[in-house]
Amino acid sequence: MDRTVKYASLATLIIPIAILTIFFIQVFIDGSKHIDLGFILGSPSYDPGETGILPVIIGSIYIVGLSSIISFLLGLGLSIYIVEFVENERIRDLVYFVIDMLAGVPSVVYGLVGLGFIGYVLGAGRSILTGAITMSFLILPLTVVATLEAFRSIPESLKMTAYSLGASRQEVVTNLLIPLGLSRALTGSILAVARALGEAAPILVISGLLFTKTIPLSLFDEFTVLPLYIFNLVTRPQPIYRELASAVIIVLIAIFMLVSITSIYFRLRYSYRLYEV
Amino acid sequence: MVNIVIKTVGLTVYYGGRKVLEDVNVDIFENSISAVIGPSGTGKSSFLRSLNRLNDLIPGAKVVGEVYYRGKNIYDEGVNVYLIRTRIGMVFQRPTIFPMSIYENVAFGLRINNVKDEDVIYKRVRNALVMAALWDEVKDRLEESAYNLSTGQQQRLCLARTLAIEPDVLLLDEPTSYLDPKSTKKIEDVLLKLKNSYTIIIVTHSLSQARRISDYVLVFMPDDDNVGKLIEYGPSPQVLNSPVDPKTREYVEGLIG
Ligand SMILES: Nc1ncnc2c1ncn2[C@@H]1O[C@H](COP(=O)(O)OP(=O)(O)O)[C@@H](O)[C@H]1O
Ligand SMILES: [Mg+2]
Repeated sequence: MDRTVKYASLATLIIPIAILTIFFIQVFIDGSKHIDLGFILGSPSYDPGETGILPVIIGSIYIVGLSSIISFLLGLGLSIYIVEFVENERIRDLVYFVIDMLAGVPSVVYGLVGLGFIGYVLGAGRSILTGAITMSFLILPLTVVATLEAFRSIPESLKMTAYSLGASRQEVVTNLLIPLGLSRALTGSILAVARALGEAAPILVISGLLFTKTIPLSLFDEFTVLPLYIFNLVTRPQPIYRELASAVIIVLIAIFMLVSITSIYFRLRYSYRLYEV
Repeated sequence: MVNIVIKTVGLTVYYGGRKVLEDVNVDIFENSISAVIGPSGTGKSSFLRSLNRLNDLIPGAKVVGEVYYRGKNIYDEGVNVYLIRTRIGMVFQRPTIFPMSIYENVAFGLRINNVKDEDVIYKRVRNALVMAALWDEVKDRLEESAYNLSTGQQQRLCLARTLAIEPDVLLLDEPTSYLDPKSTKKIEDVLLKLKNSYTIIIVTHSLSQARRISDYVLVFMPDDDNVGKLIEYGPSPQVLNSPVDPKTREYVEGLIG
């Protein structure tokens, strides 16, 4: 009996890993032969042999970079507010509830609201700006959870000590919570970055473009992102497009790995050890 | 005539409506060490925290009564709480070390209190470390993490950090309860020296410590409803050797607590 459970649970671990591994190997075999400088630095073309993805990479970097920064700052502010300034338990619970609810809203709804409000009401159009702001709200629950966790990990006794030295709330935030919590908050937010990188639905609504030949430069330019371009490629019947989709997936994964490694580096470099004292 | 630095009148502390300490009336004299003794849970820590308004930060805590610091009620409206806390410093039971260097730990209070001149900060950090009898042990490794210090050194670092902001009164809440006898002795020696320029109130779990360093003793005991009360208070030899209250007698003879 014990054995059966053991092997069954082992299987639930191994089977998904095996499937994923096979998938990645397949993607790598299909895609890697298409990856060269021309592919990375070129523009999409109707000739599959000539095609490149630079405008799409730039679009993704814009969206991911901007939305991560905006969302992180919002998350930082919100968490500090919740941890240090909300006295009333009810209000705190309400904020948690709203954040949980935001996390449960289908991403396409964010796209619709973003396009309607930021795009049309505020007049930012189907632009990078609209996409980035929308995306930053979409990933906000993740950044809030990461930053909250970072600030909550700072022992109460250290805050009391700071107060006992004459610190005001503001000073506890700027001199203690932020310096001690920042690196943990940043690395914790990596999930949010991954989400922003992989999300397709809201961008499909906002940008409406499955591919673009022009590199977006200003915040008000139109754009598309890697997941949408992958979607574009896999919907075509010819096998060459499936291989190109694999190549774009490799690029997507590479960008994600780059972000992860950077964040791990920061964690090792700047993390403080915190004890409950 | 000795100056009264702190005077409490009818000091009563509640947590979430539950009374834990009732009607403390006491005078604390300048340049003396007052030891607060009594069984645990009798409100000794709560008493200390109400002297620098740290109880303000505990949700549900309520302080009633008056605490005069050099003649001024610190619970009056419009009192600058932050200023009060820089005048009445505190050291906690466990060393509360910031995850920073030894130097930055001591400089923390100075930076908070807007001391900008790095030379001034350095001088005050050094003075504080000297006063806490830690300078010789750390002067060559001020940039090291304070976590590398032993527990005894960490507690002296906490003392130095409080001294650096040049307070007037020191509140210490069982500062040696996690320390070995040698480290305890060091802290006690430091306190005896500091007495000449500070007014010190120390909660202690150790009667022998109270005997060794205190000039006055405050005895806290629970009443029948388990509310802490100051039942006896006076010069140490008197309270510790010939107490008036029978409960104090039992306590100092080791029968309670
Ligand atoms: N933050 C708090 N919230 C609620 N109750 C508390 C808190 N701190 C202390 N108490 C209660 O107040 C009483 C006195 O505690 P304390 O002042 O720590 O006593 P002592 O230091 O003498 O052991 C205890 O019953 C304790 O449970
Ligand atoms: Mg206590």
